[in-house]
Amino acid sequence: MASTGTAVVSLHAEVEVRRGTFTLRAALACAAGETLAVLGPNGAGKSTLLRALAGLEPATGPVRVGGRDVSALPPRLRGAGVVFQDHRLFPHLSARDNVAFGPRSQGGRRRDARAEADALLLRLGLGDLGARRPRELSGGQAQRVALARALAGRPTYLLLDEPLSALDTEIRAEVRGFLRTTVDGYDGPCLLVTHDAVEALTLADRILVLEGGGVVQEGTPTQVARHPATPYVARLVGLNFYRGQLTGGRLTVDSGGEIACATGDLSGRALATIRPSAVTLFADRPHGTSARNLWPGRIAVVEVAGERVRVEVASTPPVVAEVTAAALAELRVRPGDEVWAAVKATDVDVRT
Amino acid sequence: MRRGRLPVVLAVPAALGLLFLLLPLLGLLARAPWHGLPHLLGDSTVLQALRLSLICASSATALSVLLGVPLAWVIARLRFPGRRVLRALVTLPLVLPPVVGGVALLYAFGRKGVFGPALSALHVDLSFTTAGVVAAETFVAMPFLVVSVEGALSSSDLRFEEAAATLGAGAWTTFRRVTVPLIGPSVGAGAVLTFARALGEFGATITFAGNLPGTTQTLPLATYIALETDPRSAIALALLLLAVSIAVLLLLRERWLRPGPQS
Repeated sequence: MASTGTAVVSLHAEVEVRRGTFTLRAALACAAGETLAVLGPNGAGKSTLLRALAGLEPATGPVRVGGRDVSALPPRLRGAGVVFQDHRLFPHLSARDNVAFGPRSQGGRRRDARAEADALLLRLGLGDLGARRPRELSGGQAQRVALARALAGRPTYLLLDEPLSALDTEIRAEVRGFLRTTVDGYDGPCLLVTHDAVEALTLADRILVLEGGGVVQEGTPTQVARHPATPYVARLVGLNFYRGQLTGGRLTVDSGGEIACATGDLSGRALATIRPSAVTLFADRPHGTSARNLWPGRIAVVEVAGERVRVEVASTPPVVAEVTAAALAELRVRPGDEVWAAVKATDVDVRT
Repeated sequence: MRRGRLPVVLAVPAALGLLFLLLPLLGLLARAPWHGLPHLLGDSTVLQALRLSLICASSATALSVLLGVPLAWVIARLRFPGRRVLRALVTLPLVLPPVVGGVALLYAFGRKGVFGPALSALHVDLSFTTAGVVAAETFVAMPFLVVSVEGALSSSDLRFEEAAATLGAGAWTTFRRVTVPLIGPSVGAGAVLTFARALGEFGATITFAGNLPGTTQTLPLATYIALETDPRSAIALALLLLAVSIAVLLLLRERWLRPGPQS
């Protein structure tokens, strides 16, 4: 583990940044070993918050790392490990020397720093790429080297700024795997800035939603997804998601119930997400539907959000449907009524 | 506008301009004593001047890199009141008549200059010495290096410096291990320009350092003097300087002198 020997601490911050007409005001807490996703639309102030925590953006308010306020310290003395969206590997240094840069800058001997760099590169599946320059690496490899570089500095807290967003979809899945392993194995506080809801749901223990420079919601992925506080959160995070065990195209949900998925032979631990708009509601058991998932349950909550209505069904597993107001009126159902929720297997998005 | 069509109103002055720039060079080549060239260039005075020129221009270039790169960094990276004024002052020698530079150097660092006594106390004698040639050339040529490096620093964003800072690198480590390698090509290009300018320096040198063969008489000075006594020799010297200039242009075309890829 890269942070061996470093005291394990938590992160508490109340950051305020003023830039022109934009003001960011956010309070956050992240425990040791916890991953906090900072989720929000473009321009919400996510990256500004991360930069303020790293000391790269002038800000006011305390940033406590294990009770010690580091807000007056320059970036190099804060002990933050930062992974940038655009990897920012030094173009004139090999992958190995990029990773060794932190230990070297902190006064480590060249040989020790290189040995540590090689060990980290090996751990991230880049053992044979140490001699390559950044321009000779693929996007995914470069981002993994950047991850190794941030860890090599033995950071007391880890800040990841949209680490996957610059990557192609296929490569993203591969790097996400390494990212999850790293984040899970890291014993300090870890902040992950993202605008990708699935990334936040899969990688984070808790989610902080930022909009227009302020915190609009904070909670576990389940809480945020179940009860989105704003229309943005509802649209983005308001996904049905289920953790469970996947075998032969069926996900056995941890909290009960089964979901048919179009995954073929995949198996193992998995996370399934279903868009609420992909859920169809029926007042009576439907006949002749091709949907392989058909769950009866009572309507728990009905929320109107403009043209759309969110209907929470207490089925097994529980599901949130998003229907038009007209469709709901046609169903003639009210909270407490029994309905049938239908979901096609192809509408279940599964990630292992 | 469609490319490729040449309006007459532009074509005529463009052609005249081209001719005006090329004809003097053609005149020089036409009058060149090609057969006697090896003999003329082998003359001991010429070789002495060539050797002195190379030594002085190289020293001035080294001095410019040593002082100019940090100066460019200060102008490009620090925010302080008077930064614009400082930048203007640094580039002043670019537009200043070199002879004015020579006079200014004379009254600053000459024996009777403002700082002359102080330099004498340190046993440094600049006026009418080889060191004076280096000083005059550095004064005139260093702005080329500062402008080139400052431009590179200003256009390259702070991304890599930021990354270095989060990895625990201090200002000096970041400058040495990140900034300098990244602006290396621009330093190279600036150094070549500085060298070329220093090699051709005439006005400030003759005013401040004089024209003593073997000590301060560089190639341009020798060329000027030869024009009165031995025109054939002057043409040979001019050709030599022309060859150096062309070599500089070719060097600047080389790939390693272009600003490097940023990622």
